[in-house]
Amino acid sequence: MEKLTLEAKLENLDKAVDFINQQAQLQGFDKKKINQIQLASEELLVNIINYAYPDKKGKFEITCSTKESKGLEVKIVDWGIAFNPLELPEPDTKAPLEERKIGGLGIYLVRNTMDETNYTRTGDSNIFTFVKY
Amino acid sequence: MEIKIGTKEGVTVVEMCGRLDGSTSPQAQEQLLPLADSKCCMVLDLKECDYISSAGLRVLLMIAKQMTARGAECALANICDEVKDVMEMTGFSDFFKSFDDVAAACKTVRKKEEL
Repeated sequence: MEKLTLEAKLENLDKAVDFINQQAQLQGFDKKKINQIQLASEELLVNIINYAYPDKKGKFEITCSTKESKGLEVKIVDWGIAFNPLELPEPDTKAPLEERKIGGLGIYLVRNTMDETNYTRTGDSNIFTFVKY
Repeated sequence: MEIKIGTKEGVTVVEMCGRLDGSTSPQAQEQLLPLADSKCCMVLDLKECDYISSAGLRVLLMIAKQMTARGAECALANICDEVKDVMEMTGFSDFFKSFDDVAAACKTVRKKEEL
């Protein structure tokens, strides 16, 4: 199990995604899956960086662990405002250009590329977990 | 991300080199939106771009909306499988014609300009 804690700011995004990327490579995923894991990680982390701590500093913590020998479980915790991204409405991916909105696309990508996604609010923390096999 | 802006036979061609993600999208937006406002059609060459996230899609959506609104067109060239997957999953592939090379993309958007 590998853990990394960073201050929730955009400058730390690359460092955080690289850390998860490394764990995915150690797990032996192919390029496509590694790309998807990076994407899911980025989407969740950008949300935390932009919205979890309005007007104050805060941190996020990433834990990567092996799941059922060939899977990777990534747990991302923050202590910001309560927010369950899985409750966001699904974007209408068939809507015409003029009506397309950008909101909710990030979490839609997470859901569609990962095998399991889970959110829990425990005490003052948001805990989001995703698994890729 | 490095963004190289040029023209090819009267079409604005933008080479996007690097990841189009949460860190680089603000820069891409700043450089690309003014181009989307000018009267030329545009081709985005994604040969050196192997990653796009929703932050990058946001910029592409703004470009497509702006250009379509004034009857212009933005086409994509040299799109890799990783980026293509994301575009298809989100329905964004409907908003951009995609070509195997810059020349073919330029040819199509130029036709549009001449109409």
